[in-house]
Amino acid sequence: MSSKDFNNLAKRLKTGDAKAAGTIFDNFAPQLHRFFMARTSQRETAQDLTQEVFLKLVRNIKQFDPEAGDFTPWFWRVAHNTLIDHFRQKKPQQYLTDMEREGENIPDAMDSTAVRAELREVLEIVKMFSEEEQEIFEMYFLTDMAYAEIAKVTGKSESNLRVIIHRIRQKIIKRHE
Amino acid sequence: MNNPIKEKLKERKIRRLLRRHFDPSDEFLRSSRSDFLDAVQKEFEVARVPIHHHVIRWRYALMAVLIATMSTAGVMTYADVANVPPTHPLYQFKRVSEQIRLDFSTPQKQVQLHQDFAARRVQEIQELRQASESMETIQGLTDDFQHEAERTIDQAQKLNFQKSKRKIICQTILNSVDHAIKADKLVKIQVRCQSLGQ
Repeated sequence: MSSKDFNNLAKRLKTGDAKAAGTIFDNFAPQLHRFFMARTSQRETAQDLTQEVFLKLVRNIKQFDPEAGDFTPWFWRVAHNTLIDHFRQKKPQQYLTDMEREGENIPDAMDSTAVRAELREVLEIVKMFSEEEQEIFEMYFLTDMAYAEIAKVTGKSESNLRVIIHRIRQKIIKRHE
Repeated sequence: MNNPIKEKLKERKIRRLLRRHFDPSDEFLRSSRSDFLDAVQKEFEVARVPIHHHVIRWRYALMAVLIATMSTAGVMTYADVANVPPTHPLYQFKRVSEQIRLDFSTPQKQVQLHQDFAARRVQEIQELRQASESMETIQGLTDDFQHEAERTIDQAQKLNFQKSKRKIICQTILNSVDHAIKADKLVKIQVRCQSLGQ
């Protein structure tokens, strides 16, 4: 789906169109959950935050102005702010640490020691990234956002973002070899 | 690792691994989706109320129009089939029904209908005379008879009916006429018939 499609869906959501709301949820919910899982390391928290973002979307959709910008970056800014609020209220940020908890969602067939070890290895590498790199890593690897959209959310130029993502990719792949 | 293809494959593998690990459960997605849609419905419920009432109001109006149309059609059909007399309250419905039948008939069928309606007018004039109705009403029906008779003849001429057929039509009209029809009207019809070749 293109930015234009999402803008149209958002316009329909502004009028209370349930079908448009369903399509937006189906597209963003899994991405959002992955994003929050990476940040909070707790499934329950990720679920709560995912739901909270969608409730905020309902309350704030009237403020969305397609003339001012696309829906996707606007939506991710809401998600980003929700996460910041969460950490302000709760506790210092923990990143991908609670590995024993996270294993509960992996299907049995996938829940082999090798897979878990591989996953832990990747997450350990990411843990060493800077705050900015972690955020970009999440958006690039865990959501379906395009470079242009990530650039709008993070406030970076697209070319700069490409350089950062290349650096992240190299770090992960080289250390994970 | 400098091979871009290998790098891409590795990246894809890592991406798949992470996604599988961080994906939400189907159960959570189902319940969360339902909650979200409920919230949307609740948030926009107030705005939808006037539209809802608007639709209901139009629905009732449409039903009322449909009922009125069907009732009128029923009354017209009854008045026409029963061939109600001019003194009957539904007589005007009969005349409207006759006009509708004419409008929706083929030119050939219209000849027969004009002929039938001319005969009806004669019958009605006779009934009014027996009931000693006012001359004004009878005069109006006489004019209507003349109109139907002329239309029958005109239509037959227009459609180039065979001479024998035209003769039968004229004879039928003239035979249906009695002393109830004024002489001047009869003369006009006879002249028309003669122009057809009788």
